[in-house]
Amino acid sequence: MNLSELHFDALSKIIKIGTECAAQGLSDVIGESVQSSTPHVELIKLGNVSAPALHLNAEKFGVVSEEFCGAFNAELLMLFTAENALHIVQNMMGEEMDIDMVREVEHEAMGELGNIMINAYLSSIADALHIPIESSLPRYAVKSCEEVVDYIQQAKIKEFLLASHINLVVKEQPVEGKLFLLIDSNSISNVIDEINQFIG
Amino acid sequence: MSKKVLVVDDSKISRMFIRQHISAAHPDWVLSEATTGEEAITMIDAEQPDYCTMDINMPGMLGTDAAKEILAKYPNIRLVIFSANVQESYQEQARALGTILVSKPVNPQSIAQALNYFTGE
Repeated sequence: MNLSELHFDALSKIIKIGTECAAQGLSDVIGESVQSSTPHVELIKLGNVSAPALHLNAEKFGVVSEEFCGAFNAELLMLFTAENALHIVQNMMGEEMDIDMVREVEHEAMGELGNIMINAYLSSIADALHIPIESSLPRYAVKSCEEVVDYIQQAKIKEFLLASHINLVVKEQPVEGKLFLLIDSNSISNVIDEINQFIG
Repeated sequence: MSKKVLVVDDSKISRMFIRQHISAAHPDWVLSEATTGEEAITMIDAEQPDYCTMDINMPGMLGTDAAKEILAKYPNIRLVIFSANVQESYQEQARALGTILVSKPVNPQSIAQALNYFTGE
């Protein structure tokens, strides 16, 4: 599939807005302002996915995933480095909670945080394109860099990965977040149709 | 006057935050919890709460379907849909049920919105 420059630009803008809404979701959860960079968006064929191509430069990641259906079928992965995930959970639960307790609630808290951030992303895209989208329940796992790449490469019926990378600052600590939308060409075509109606 | 509130959410963290915030504002209110729409329907019959917070995306029945069933049977219960999914289509569903969709995360602002709806302020 070849996207025209205009279509990729429109798609990037929608993804960027979604990513910024997800960052705002993080800010709402921890009750602190979160500074964010402009997201960087790339379209990658799944055959070309590798750790360097995805800018995965840590050993372990906290990964929340959710599947979508509706006008397009896709799966969204939200990644933070494992260290950043713990930092975020600590902020979410209150700094008085010690690190052992933070580790105890990490899965539950990251699942809920992921649900909020992913749905903020999803809702902004659905509303921008005027299409309803349904989502599955969030799943959270800590994965190594290799496991993330394997997971993406083995994804069913997905052909492309729309990657958005965003740099955040949470309570003076830099946090790198990634949102990977796994999507097939039919779904991209449907989104392009919606964009065509959107841009007239 | 003490009120009974049923908190319906599959996320333990969300239930914990909803409890904390409501209890802080109304220490005399009695809170109970359900983790699915099906469990909520059973508990509503048994406990007859005054108010209910309902998540949408849970294992099994969708929260909007559970809310529809509950409000058809108990129209006097004040129920709010509490969800991270704030797409316009979900807000329309909430309006069609005669209720409101309050946006997650659970924080003092979203809880204030729910409490205002409960108490008619």
